[in-house]
Amino acid sequence: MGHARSRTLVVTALMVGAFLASPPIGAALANGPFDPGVRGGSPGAGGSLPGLDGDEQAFFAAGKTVFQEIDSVSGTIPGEDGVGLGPRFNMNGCAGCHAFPAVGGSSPLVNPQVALATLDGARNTVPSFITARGPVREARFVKNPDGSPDGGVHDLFVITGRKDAAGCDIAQPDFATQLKNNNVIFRIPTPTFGAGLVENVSDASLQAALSAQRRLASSLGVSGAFNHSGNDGTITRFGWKAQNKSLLIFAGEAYNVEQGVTNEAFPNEREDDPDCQFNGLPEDGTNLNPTEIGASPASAYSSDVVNFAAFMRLSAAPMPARATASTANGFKVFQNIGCQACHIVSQTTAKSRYAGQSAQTFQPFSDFAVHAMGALGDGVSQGSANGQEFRSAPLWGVGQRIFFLHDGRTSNIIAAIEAHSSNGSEANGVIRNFNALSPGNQQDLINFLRSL
Amino acid sequence: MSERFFRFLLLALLLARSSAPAAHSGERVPDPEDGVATAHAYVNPYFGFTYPFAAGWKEGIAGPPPSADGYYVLGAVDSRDGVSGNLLIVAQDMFFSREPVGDAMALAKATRRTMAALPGMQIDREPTAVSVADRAFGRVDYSGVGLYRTMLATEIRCHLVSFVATANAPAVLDQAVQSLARLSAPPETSASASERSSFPVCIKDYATGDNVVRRVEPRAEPPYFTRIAVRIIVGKDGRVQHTHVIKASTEQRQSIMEAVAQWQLKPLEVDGAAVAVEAGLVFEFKPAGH
Repeated sequence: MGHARSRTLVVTALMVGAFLASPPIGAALANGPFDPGVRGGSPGAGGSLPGLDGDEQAFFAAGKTVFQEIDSVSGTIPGEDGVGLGPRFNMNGCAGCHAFPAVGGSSPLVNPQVALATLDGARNTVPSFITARGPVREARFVKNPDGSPDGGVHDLFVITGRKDAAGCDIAQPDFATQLKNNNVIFRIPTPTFGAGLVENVSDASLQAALSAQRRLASSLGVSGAFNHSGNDGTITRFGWKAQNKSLLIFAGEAYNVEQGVTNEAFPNEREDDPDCQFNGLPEDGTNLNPTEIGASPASAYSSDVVNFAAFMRLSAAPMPARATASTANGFKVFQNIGCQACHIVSQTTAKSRYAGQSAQTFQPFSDFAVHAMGALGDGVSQGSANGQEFRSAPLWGVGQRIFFLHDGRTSNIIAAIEAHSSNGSEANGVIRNFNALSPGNQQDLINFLRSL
Repeated sequence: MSERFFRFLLLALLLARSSAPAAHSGERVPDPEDGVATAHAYVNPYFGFTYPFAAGWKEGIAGPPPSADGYYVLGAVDSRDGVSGNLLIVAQDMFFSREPVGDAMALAKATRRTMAALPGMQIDREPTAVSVADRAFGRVDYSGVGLYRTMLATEIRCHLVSFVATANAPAVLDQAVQSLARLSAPPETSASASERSSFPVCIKDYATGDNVVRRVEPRAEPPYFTRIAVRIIVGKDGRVQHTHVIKASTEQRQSIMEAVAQWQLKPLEVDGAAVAVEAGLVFEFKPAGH
């Protein structure tokens, strides 16, 4: 591990410690409940699934190491061994965005995108929507200049000026004009803990879980539907709009879109300026002759993307805190007022090739369906999810999340709850129920959520 | 606003629509989501009912658009303080429900089973058949975590229309439930042929098999592998007078409406006379070669 990286980690740890020791981040609502803030203590996630055999655990550990690799254009900068960064990018490593409360999580407290803008000589301007204490974000433009739908990611930064990108001279997008035109939406990283369990749930099981909630849902104004693969019609389940089919696709797309690293799933550069093409394609691929095998031959021979997918697939679900009288009542309130109409408590895996993972019932608190969310909609369609719809965000691990909603607009979980209610939202009935609760029941519900 | 005013308003809407949807004349045929709220009432021309709000209650924020399975949030009403109580008006198209129930009482019983299984929920009133506005409703009451709830459901045009009242005090719940006594809705049985014929006959699978004289397939449009539910009204001449694509992309909607407008069906005859019929269709588009 490079000295610069270890120093950064120490600083980050100190800042997080100071943050957690400070008074709760959430302001109390007048005469109402308060958000006690990010749950302290050790991270409730980041390890491997229980029950894996030795080879699988080794694959997880090696995959995690690859997940933390820092990319550069050439792979020749000390501490930045990965090859293929850019020409356009949002981050130079998976763990930069998927960082909190542990590697594989979501946005950390200190946004690494600020320092990244000028790393290694790059000459980027930090966009106004990226701040030191704000969430890691990607930006998407809703419409093309001709008015047709866009929805694609427009990377924040370029490699222009980097010491390993001589001759490349491209510009960042004009975010200021797009912001002025209200044509930009943001997405923050989704946590990846337990993703393999989600991947292994059969379509029939997802359908059955959704059907079991229909009667409750329909008494509250909730419906929902699954997003489907345009290739084979099966249910897709990863991403803010449940647009991605598998962890391999998820990893490959993110590697190319967020870091600019072409790979065997997404083998073509998104920026085709000829002066900015430095590597043979795809930049990430199967290792035909690895220099080092280590404890996991599977990892050594596999591409980065396969390693990323393995890390996510074999990662354990977030562990909730031990129940208290308040959180136990809060769980009862959660179910009684209808939160579970979308945030379904349990799902069950199918038969799995991984040791100890078949027919496992786990608690993601999501139906993995998409729902109309009114004013929370971002205007971007993905698959069969339209611009007003979002996947029910899995709530496992929410107790140790800093930023909420698809764009990380708030760190207050109560504000996130209230934002579910607006013209056109399926959640209005449930939020009405929440608002009608006694302050005590409201607080117990908040405490329950922060215990997840 | 007097009850007489709302009855007049509803009758005017129904007479304007008449029994043969005038799609060719350009007159707009209402769909379930076309209800409107005034300052004092919710009026739905498709279902033919008017619900005057309880005193001091007001229109709440709008619900979502119709779902792919034909589930509608028709309206919401909030108590005076905006917090202590609310009344949700929803409808489920019985043609497309993923978990169909036979009738309003069956819905009340199914709701009872669901709510009784929730932690902390108790059933305050077992499913009961009641009469409201000369219509048969199924009713069930339940409460938990300090919230009191009543669901009243009835069947109109092959939809299960439910009024779900919620309040954090029994007195507020009573206020909402009592207000339903002023509901104006089409009677279920009527000696008057004109009232009975104000709605088309609803038959889920009428537009299938030997009833179809000419069928034109819509061109496939993305997103693929999504289930698209459609209601059509077939006139006395067997032509499709009205098409309601419940949820679809713009391209899918246009494709289906262009195709279905060319369909020809056998007219439905009741007691020797041709009548309008409302039927259901389901489309699922797939990519070429699939």
